[in-house]
Amino acid sequence: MTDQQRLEKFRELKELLNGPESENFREYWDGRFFNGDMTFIFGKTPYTMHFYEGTVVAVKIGTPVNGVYVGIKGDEEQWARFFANPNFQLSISVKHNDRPFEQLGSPLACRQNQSMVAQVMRLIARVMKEDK
Amino acid sequence: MPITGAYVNVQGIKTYYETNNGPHNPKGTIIALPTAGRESRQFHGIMEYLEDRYTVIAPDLPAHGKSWPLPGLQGIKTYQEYGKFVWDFIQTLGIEDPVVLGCSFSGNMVLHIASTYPVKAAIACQASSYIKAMGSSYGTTILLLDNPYVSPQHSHWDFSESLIGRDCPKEAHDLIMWGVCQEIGRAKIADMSIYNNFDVREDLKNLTCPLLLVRGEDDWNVPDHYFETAMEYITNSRKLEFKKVPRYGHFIVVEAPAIVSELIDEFLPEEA
Repeated sequence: MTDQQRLEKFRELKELLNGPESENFREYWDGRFFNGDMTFIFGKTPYTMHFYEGTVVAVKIGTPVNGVYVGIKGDEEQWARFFANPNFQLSISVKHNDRPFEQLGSPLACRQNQSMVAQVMRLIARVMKEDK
Repeated sequence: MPITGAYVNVQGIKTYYETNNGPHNPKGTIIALPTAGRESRQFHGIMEYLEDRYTVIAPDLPAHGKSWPLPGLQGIKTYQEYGKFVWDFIQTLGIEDPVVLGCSFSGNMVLHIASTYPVKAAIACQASSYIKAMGSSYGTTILLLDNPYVSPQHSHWDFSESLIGRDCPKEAHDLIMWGVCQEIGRAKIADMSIYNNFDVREDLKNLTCPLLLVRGEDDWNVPDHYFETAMEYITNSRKLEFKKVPRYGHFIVVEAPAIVSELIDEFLPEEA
């Protein structure tokens, strides 16, 4: 998958988060409290999603100008493994995983926003596996 | 008779417990210990299922549920003190044939208690004899559970959700997640302080009572090899069994109370 093809998938994710998955993300996963950026790095390519109260307002390739707030970084093999088994907690567990994802952001921000990032990650797995 | 609650003074701590008021069973009196941060309601399913066969008693440990905290508004932070408290609770109630039952964190505690005190039998669900703290389990990160900028209820939501098995009924699922909503940061820190760097492997040679190990197989956080490690060290138990339950998860005592109850009843010897 090229960087541009993956960006297209993130645009699909935006539609999903603002559409059929909006209520679940905002209400069950507390996304309504999320203001700011989530950055997901695939190899060397960062994708940043900008949120306002749980609504995605933009997606783009690149890191936020103020630096990364929260996010996840992994290489192709790590992402492929996550897509095969989208268990977020297992994917970041250093106890059960010899190659866990790197969590981006301060420990405080990661802790505060973990459930929201986890749900976005599961939806990333969903759109990446879907072929239109 | 319905489940009732009462208080008893243990080590100077006003300690809440619940019981199903079931009949005494010669196989033993079940003392049920909640998972980390949670309280006695986790065992209502088992209490109700066994109400005609066993007395089941579930305490809230200090700082949990309706029990008072330790001085300084804290919970117990070492497994030795936890075990001593549970044993003193059992003694205070005058129970002579305790069968200790625990799940997850308290499953680990069951291994310690059964290695240290003369219990009649032990049931350890989702249990580990050895936990090495790593990464986010370490030091300051754990303290984030009692940080003014972190809601333990919200920050722990996904973790607890991820542990629940596929066949967990909605009512049980909701109780588990309501347990997340009601967690007390300081109580959770106390339990996690015990959980991390827990190691009773060398003590397990002293465990002689019958021991049933139960694993809900959907639990990614307590894999098979945790049980296998424990069993390598349990060399003197009079009866040791390991039962796996497919499609249920980490909170198996809440998720599948009927299955766990039947496993317990089948396992407990008539004359232990």
